[in-house]
Amino acid sequence: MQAVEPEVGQSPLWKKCLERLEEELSPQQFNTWIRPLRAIRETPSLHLLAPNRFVVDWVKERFLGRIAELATQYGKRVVDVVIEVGGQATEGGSETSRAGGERPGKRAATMPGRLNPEFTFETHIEGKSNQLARAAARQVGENPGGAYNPLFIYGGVGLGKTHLMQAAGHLMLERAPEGRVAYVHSERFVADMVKALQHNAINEFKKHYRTLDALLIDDIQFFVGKERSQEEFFHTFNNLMEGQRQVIITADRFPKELVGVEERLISRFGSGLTVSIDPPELETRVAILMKKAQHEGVELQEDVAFFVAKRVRSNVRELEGALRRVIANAHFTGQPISIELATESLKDLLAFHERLVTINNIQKTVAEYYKIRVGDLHSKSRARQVARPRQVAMALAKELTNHSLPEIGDAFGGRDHTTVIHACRKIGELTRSDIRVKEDYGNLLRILSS
Amino acid sequence: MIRQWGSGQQLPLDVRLRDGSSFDNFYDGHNLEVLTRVRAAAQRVADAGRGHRAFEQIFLWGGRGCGKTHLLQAAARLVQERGLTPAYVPLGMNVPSPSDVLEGFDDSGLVCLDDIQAVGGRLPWEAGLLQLYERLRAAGGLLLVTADSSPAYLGAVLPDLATRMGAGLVYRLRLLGDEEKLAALRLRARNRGLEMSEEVARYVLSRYPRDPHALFRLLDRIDHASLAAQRRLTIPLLRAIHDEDGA
Repeated sequence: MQAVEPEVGQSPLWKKCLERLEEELSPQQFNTWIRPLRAIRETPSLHLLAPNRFVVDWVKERFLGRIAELATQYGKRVVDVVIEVGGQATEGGSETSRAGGERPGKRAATMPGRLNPEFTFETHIEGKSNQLARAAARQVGENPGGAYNPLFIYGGVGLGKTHLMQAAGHLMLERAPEGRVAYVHSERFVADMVKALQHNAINEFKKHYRTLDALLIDDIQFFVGKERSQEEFFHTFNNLMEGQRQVIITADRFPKELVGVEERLISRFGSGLTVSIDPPELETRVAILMKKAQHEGVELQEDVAFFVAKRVRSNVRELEGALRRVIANAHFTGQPISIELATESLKDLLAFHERLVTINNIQKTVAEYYKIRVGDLHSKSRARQVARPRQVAMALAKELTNHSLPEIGDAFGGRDHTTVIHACRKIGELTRSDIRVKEDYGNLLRILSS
Repeated sequence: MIRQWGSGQQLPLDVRLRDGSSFDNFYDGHNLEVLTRVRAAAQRVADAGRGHRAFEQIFLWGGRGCGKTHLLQAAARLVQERGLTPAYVPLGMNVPSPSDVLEGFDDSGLVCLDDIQAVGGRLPWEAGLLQLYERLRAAGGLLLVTADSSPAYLGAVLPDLATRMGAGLVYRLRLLGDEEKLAALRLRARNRGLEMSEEVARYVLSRYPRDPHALFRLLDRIDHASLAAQRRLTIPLLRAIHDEDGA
């Protein structure tokens, strides 16, 4: 059935409409509303699929008339346009407009569960901070449904809880390849349940979860305050436990601290084994970096690893991001990974804001620096001790803000834009010939932009 | 000249350019590395088509006018040319709830989230984004995110989201200096078949706001005026436009 439906996303008619719409609309409108549309048929009517209801409504309200006009013009016949919600999986050529009938089927096909192939024990780094959790996860992977059921792993974000729980899942699958091991993030569990309720597919939802051999549910703190989800999860949980099937749970806090989660669930969570993961200490962070680099086939010197690990302390995710950036930078520049290169690469990660520099701010800083008053910068005075700082401030305003030169002139006591041009030229010359001006300008630039 | 329609609600940064945003008309300045990375990642998505795609994420941040949106739209264009349907979501727009706009993108191949800081600190949005992230990670493809600050300073209430944003490649885009703006303006003009002399470009930079959005908007205005008047782009023409706008 799928094979007969041609790929008409690029069909002449829709392609022409797209080209024209791109000319007529702003990039923002075109990208947001038109690009995600997909044409699955052009006869008898042009049939478009949109990713969600919101796009459908928006396009219907604002663009549908124009699309029909263009389609009619390019199709050289009257073309109606039909738009509805539908993803790639639903485009298999069904003729009828569906009222939710295909949704449960689609959902079942995309039910969560896959494990990330990279999250294994082989790629996990052991350190003091995660020793116990790792041992417990391994034990559970080798012996699911045994004494450590459920296994509750808690700790701060980005410390490797997901990695460990999935490593246990991989181990289970290694030993029983036919087993049904599913990983799901709690948010996804909640969202899928809501959808299943909306589409009258709650029984399928229940069946999916209750027939698993192992359930790995991540970040359970997202259940806080969601009573209906907790209720459903409670039954799923009991069902799995009764069948001696393994449950692994992670959270960012200790079970008893999950305020807003029902008492009966909390006590169940604590009925197996509860282990924590702490932030990795320096040596472990270095080991993580070395192992990741090795995995990427990149040579990383220990001193560079220490340098990065000392600067990115809080969690493993950012540590990975930092290493990725350093490696990318080295590849791009063709330089070996050194402390200098790492310093440069990490700037983007460790800096926090493009500081907003205003003319006012520049005037205030310059006045303070030269120990004059802000009023002097606005004044008519041509005295050297005022005129030079004024020129410096103007040059800085041109360098650091997007204001037009007439606006800058205006902000300095209503001067003309040619005065600003002159000031900029003058300071440009002086920074090359006068060491003091060069130093002052450099200092001010640093103060204002750091 | 261009028909205005369907403009019931104005979206932010509404820069209308006939040459569109592509990788070829991105003036890289100091941003060559990030341009290369984003382009290569988008190319991988385009090449994979509907086949297997590994998950990749790139987080771009920087001040207004540094070219973040341009790169996202260029990536979307490249991917769409291969018949895929990329998603582009400007989070600065006023949308009632995340469940309305963040659905249905799992198989897009490319998801662009522009101005993510706009929803920082709003729990339902952050949770929605977290969910989307998890779904994309499972489905594969490229996630491009932009913000005005680095991931750790997004003002996110969910550390889960902030750390995930920081787990991939993070790049800060540098703002263009005046000489680079001059070159960018002339490049953009040339792409539209408009010859802008250095003298004219300097005139523009010394008299108009120099924020790239404003400059490109002005270019649009100049292009239309030059077409309408059937005149070459000269300083007298600019003066005439200025007078007309002021009138």
